[in-house]
Amino acid sequence: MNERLVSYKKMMTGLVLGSAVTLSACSDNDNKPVPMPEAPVSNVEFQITVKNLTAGQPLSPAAIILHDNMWHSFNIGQAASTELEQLAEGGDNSHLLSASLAEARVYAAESGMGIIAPGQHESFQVETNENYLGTLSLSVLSMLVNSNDAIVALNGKPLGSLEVNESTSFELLTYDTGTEANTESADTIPGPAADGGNREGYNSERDDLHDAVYVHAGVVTQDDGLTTSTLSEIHRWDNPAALVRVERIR
Amino acid sequence: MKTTQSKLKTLALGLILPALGASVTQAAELDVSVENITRGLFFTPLIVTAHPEGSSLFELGSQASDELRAMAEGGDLSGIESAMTALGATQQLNPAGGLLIPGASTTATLNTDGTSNVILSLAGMILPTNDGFVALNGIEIPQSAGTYTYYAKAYDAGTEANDEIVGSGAVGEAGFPAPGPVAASLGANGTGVNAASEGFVHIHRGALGDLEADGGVSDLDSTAHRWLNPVAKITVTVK
Repeated sequence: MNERLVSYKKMMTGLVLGSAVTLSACSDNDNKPVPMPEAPVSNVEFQITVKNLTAGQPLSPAAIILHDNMWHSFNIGQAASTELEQLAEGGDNSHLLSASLAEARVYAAESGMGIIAPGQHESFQVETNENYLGTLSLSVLSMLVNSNDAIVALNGKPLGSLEVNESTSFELLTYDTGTEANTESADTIPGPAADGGNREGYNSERDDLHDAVYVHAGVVTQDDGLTTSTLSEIHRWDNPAALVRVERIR
Repeated sequence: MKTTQSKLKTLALGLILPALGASVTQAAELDVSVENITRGLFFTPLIVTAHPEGSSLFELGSQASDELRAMAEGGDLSGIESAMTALGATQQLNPAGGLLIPGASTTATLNTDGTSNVILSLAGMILPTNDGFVALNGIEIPQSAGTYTYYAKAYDAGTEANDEIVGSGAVGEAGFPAPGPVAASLGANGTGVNAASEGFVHIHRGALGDLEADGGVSDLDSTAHRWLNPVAKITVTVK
């Protein structure tokens, strides 16, 4: 986790306090300016735990994004970005993470280690400069892999009021990203429920009823009468589908 | 929750702000009202319990305790009651005096004076389900007098296959018990939903049901026994 963090972490340009300050006068005989020791960048650090609360929906590797309070990875009622579509249809978070990190309002963007199975959880440690704390917000996104384009998401919740050693929890809703028709067929669902099908992930075509993100209405499944569905009743879910616990550890 | 709790503690200790200080008291007596806000589900007798910090009825994602399992599969509260009693909990059982039917409310009154019972939980089995239950799993009891609202979700204990067939409430036996009013809403002779116990406590995925009063896969009616969270409204009045 920490190696990844370093590779993803954004440079704190301009916020390194005192690093450019030198003293021109001092008691040394040779009168050379002595560089002031670089003040340590003061970081805040959070431990973020994502728990899968569903009965039968593995979650794709989570995207963990720290950002300011004006940034969103999606907006209800608006079309999803291509990067979100890639996460929602195929479980690939890499495009969303790299695109997010390129934005000035995003401070850190991290990937989870792997699939989070039903009932399981994964913990991440993410840090950022304490100067961002005032507007610091958290987003977490992951695909329900036995679906066409369902995600579970925390869509920008403020963390700034958390003191060190305090924690808070968020219950996550599921959203339909609106980028792929909910056929539930084995050719269009990438997860293990589509065993035997083509299991396609991302496809740039947008063929859902509305090209917009909404709260997910749930899956129908073959057990409830959708004969072309590769899903069975165990793949249904209700909200909240995931729990995110955030503890500020520094 | 933790954030709020710490701030309240600070205020209570400091008493620097007289306007707030006046309303900050140690919770001693509280009413806990539970309303069944579903259209077609029944709650078996509830346990409403105030207990010490660091204890809980269950942990999401983990295997259910034997005590939780007995409650979730058959409505048997005795195991939870003794376990919580051993912790010194302040609790009330079965405030409704039986089933809490759709739309009905019941109120438990707890007095935590002189105890360290600062956490509130409640639980009861949901009928008709195999091992579904409604619960509030450990909220910090507010320290200021007032009325607080919470919404409770339906959980699956993960200990029994959701075959949706009328059967036994005994631990480890298939099916669910169907006392009078519950039985009246059910079908019969279902062949059983093909399901396995999940092994861990999680958010209930809901019932499948079917439209066959006689036969089909499920004894549940898919139009009557379906639900979405939340399933209960909890009103806590701290006096």
